[in-house]
Amino acid sequence: MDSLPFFPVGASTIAGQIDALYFAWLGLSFAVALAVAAMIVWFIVRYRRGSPAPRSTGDPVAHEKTMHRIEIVWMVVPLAIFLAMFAWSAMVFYNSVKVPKDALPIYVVAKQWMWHAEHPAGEREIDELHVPIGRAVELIMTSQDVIHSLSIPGFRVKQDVLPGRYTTLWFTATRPGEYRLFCTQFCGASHSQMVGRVVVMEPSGYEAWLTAHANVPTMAARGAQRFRQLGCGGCHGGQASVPSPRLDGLFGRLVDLRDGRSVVADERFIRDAVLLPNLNVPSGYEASMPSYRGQISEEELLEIIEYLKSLGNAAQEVKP
Amino acid sequence: MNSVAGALPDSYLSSGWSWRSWLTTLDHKRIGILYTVSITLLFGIGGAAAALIRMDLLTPHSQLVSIETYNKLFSIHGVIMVWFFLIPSIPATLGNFLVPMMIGARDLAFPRLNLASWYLFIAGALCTIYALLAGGVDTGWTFYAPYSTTFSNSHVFAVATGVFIAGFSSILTGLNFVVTIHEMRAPGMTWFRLPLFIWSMYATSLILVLATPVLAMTLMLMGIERIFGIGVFDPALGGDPLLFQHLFWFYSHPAVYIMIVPAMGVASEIISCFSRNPVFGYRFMAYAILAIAAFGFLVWGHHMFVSGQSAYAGTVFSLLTFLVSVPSAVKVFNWTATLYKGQISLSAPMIYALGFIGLFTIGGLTGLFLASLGLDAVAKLLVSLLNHYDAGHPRED
Repeated sequence: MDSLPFFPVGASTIAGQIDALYFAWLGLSFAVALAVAAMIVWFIVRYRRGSPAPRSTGDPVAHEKTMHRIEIVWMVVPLAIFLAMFAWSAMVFYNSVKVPKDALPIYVVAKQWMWHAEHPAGEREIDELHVPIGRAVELIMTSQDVIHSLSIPGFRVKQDVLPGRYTTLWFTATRPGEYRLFCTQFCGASHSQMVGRVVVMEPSGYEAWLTAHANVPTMAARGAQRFRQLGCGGCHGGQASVPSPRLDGLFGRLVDLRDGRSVVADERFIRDAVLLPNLNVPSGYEASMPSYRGQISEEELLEIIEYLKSLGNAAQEVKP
Repeated sequence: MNSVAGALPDSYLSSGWSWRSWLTTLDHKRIGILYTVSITLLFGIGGAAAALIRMDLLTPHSQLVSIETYNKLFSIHGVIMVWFFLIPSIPATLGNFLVPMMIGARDLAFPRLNLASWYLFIAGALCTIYALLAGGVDTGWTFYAPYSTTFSNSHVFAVATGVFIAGFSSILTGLNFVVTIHEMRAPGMTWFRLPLFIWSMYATSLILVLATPVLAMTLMLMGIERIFGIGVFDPALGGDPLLFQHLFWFYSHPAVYIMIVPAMGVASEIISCFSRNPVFGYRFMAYAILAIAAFGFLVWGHHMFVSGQSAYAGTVFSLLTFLVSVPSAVKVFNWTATLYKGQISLSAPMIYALGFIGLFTIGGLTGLFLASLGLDAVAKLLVSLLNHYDAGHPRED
């Protein structure tokens, strides 16, 4: 694919699958379009007004039957092709949305008009994204204001980034280099300048890049600091006066709620718990937590999530 | 129109020359002409915006207009072309003019309502033009929240009001056609003797009546959030921005069929006429039109594959989109087959209609790329979305 003019280089594991689908449709479309065009031209020439070509269709009843059969054929054949193509594209789609378990998380906050990325190891970057080659990377994204959309054409990936929730996108880069990153959802005056670059590095180069910033505290450490500053430990800590859920081992666990529902404690759950604490009250507790809306930035919230993740996961914890 | 001339003038053209006679006319043909003139003027405005966009793109760093103006140009281009040109383009002009004649009625069922819908259309257009002169709108024609409700400093509310008012013109026209086609067919004009243009107008009218109110509600909710700060769509106010997109596309996808289905009706008539052949598979064509209109209501989520809606929803919407492609494919094959053993004369209308088959085929085939999950996101980058729109139905985004 590299040498095709006007066709972007495919630099992720999913790119090949998507390009195959694209070229299959392209071939099919050309075949159909050319067939239709050829038929039309042929009929126009042969059956032009006053041409000697015979117009008789023979026995009208038999003719009617034939026409009916033809009609059925060109309903059923496209339907079969469409269903097959649907099945294929759905498979590619699931490959593109199912995040591998061992993916490296990177947090992204979009705002008018910049991309702010934060690595768990602590690095922060603006309008740039450094990623290692050959390793699945999961972008956990949210917006501080309007809807944006993160698109990396070289990887054939795109996902809208919404305020008030997290969306994810993953890829495994396959070749080193720099790739363009765009916002593809109109987001205001400088939307067209909300662009950046993704730098794909060899694993050794990526390690070197990480250690170059080794003095920066990790996201979890920053989250822990913010956790203390906001006084979260006053209730969620060891010797709390108010009965509050303990948070170690919370992430990824199934939480039973007071109203009978059960939800997985993922990023969205923690976000809701901080900003809308009355939405999901765990069973056995009162809805006594205040909302921290307005007191915490998107970045700080992500750091607290990363901190809670660092407190261990579901595997090593028992239910309250 | 001759022996019954007792109550009626000789001709819709010569029945009066004054402004008053045109602006108070209840004649469906005159109203059709009023629409033709007014949407042609609006097309000029939308086209001028597009021309300015293109000229600006000729300059290296957008030197002709500012970034803000550029955003307003493509927004007004979209708004005018979608709601003030494409939606009424065929139903309000050819539809008004031809529907009564093709079913053997003297006029539409509600002539006064018909005139009222033109005035509503003009009121909506004036409101939108006011917003344009006052400084314009920069949200794009899709008004995505929360940008439109909380962040944009442009004249969102005035434009939305214009579209809201014009929507009622759509609803009333649709209602008028549905009643007329049901109740006023000449004796012997049974459903399966209706010309395909009438079938296409009927299907379009059903969409106009059923989908447009959803747009009105959506714009109203948007206005309420923008003006009173009541959270509906903006998460900062407790709303859900995807709700806006679901509501908006629940109207705007069927609206695509409001644009294309009438053109299918026109093409069917012209191809049949200039090949001196009845339309191949007439019943299938009629059913295909109805199927497209019905399925059109079930596929809105294919505008939202990367919006953050669930992967399962995306899968279902993709499947339904492929299903709606079948009747569209059938129509192309049937138009082609109509030429078979005909007496084809390549007069100007026929050349346009054959060109339409070509454009619609390209538009439909590119639509299949976009219906494919996974591929959709990438194809949009390759600008084929624009080709799909502009080929299938000359239009926006």
